[in-house]
Amino acid sequence: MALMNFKSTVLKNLFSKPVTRNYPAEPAVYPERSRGHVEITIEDCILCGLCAMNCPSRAIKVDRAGSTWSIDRFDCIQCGYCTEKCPKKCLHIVPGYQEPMAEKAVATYDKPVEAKKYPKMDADNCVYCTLCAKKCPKEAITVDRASKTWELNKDVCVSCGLCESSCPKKAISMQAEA
Amino acid sequence: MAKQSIVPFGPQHPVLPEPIHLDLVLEDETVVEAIPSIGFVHRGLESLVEKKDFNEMTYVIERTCGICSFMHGMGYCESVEHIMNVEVPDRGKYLRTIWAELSRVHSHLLWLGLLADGFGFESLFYQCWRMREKVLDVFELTTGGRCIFSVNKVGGVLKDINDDMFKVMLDVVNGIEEELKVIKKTFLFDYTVESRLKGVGVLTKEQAHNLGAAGPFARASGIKMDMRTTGYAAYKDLDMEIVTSEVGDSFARCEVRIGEIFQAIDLIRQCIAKIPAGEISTIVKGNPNGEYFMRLEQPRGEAVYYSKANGSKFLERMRVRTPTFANIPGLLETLKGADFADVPLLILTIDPCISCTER
Amino acid sequence: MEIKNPGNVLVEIEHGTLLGHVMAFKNQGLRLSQICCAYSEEKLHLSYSFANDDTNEYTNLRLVIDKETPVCSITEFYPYAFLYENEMKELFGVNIQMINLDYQNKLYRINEEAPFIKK
Repeated sequence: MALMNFKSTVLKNLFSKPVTRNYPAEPAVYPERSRGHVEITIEDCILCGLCAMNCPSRAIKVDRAGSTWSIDRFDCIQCGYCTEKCPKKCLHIVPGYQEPMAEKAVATYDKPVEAKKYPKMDADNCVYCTLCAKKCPKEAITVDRASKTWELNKDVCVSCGLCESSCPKKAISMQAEA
Repeated sequence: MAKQSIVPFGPQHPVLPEPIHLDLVLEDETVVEAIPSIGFVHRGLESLVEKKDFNEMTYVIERTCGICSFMHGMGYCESVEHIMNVEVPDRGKYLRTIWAELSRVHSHLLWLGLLADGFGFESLFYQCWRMREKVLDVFELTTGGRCIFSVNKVGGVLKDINDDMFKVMLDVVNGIEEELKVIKKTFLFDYTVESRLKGVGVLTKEQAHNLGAAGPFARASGIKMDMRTTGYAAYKDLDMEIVTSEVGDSFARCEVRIGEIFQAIDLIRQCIAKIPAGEISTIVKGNPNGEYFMRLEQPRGEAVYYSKANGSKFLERMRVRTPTFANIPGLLETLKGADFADVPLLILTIDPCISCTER
Repeated sequence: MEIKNPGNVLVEIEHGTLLGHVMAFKNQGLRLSQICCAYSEEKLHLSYSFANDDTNEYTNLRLVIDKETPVCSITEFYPYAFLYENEMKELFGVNIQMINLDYQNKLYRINEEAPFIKK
């Protein structure tokens, strides 16, 4: 039993610098693995919806029709399960916590819609074999051997590229609309 | 006979941040009986098994509590792994053990701080939490979270610790050991601290056994009980001696917990020395079917994780029996005959975690 | 470190023999580790778990009953079982009788009756 056991600690603390950081003048340093928020590389996203299906707090919504990916950052619990589940590994957990706001807000990311590509026929090489028309799943191509015409119905075409790959003369190429 | 009066205690109390309510029957200044009531923060997390599949449940169970969060996730995963006959790779087991023991260090330091605060030694409280902060920094470095780690999954762990991180971890635990050796003197040899703790709330070995006490609370009364001796995770390869005391008062509980911090630091060192290289998780296929009672030693004592699965991806029942639930009857016994002024301190000595208890 | 892990033992018992089994465990000096209930296929599955802290044996008594079947409280042998029994009674509506400290379904203060029973 003794008195003044804490004396040495007190003296040490008295003559040493504070252990706390002078925040916010000196900003907080987060380690590399710090789970702050979820970030998406939207270009790589294929909108499969696996992240939304597996999110424990259902914070993620994937809209395939509108091709958007959105997250309610206030519902997100930063568990990182979506990054585990993402087949394209386009989700990442990065440092930096969500800042407080007066209202809950949903962050929405638009997947850029790539310009639709259509098959284009090169008349120099085409032999009007009609193979492309036969392969087309949507019957968008009409070929007339007799009059040497090749026509495409752009409203029906789904840009699958089957015509391009089936052409024996490599006369068809998929090209974006100018 | 002195006049009896009933004093309500909690759920809001300056000393105790945990929402437990006690009706204390007093005779003058002495407590004769205490009737507990809980249920102020019941959330029904267990019933979420109906809506979350067994992989997602890991993250739900982890969020039962902010202090022993890692062990909750680990206990749940081990119970499901037992059902599915999944063998976690050795490195995964060691990583789990390291994080679990670090959790014990941080939980016990938190408790020591709260205890110091409870008996009115503010600067000692700051000193303990200052040490604890370093453990939290190691957690953030290795897992990315300070309280909730989200590194467990059924089949192993999600993140590996590299050699640089191990170096930082060793520096931190060695530093804590040195600091704690100094602080320990204040807890165990200081006149004022002793007069608040010694002989307060004595629970004999027999009483502790008859009231189903668990963890450091039971070990301080001389019961040699530690779930780590069942050899889950990597404990079967490690050397440890169960810390016990025969006295059973508040001082003994403090002593046991301080001893356990040193023990945990030693276990972490053993793990870092022995950790094998290799995979950290295995691929788990299919859904669980069966049931298992998994027991593990949390900082507060024995926790039971019961999983019951029926072959679908949703479990049928998930139950967590937390140590505080088992320690409440023991607490009520220690309160009997105690001074009214000692009540907050005695509640602290079981290290209550009501958010675990009510889930 | 000496490892003792004999694993879980599951003993299925008939309704009505519960108190006899519990008394036998009490006489062996086992500790009541937990009581829990699961609801499966219109039946209540009650598990009473007893731990032996010297050998780490873990014995579970399994009692399968219908929803309304009355069960006698074991608080006579293990007084600290009252918390578990009140919990089961409130969450699953198990008809437990003669608990030494009955909270009358007010342990967790839930308005809904038997919320853990799937409807």
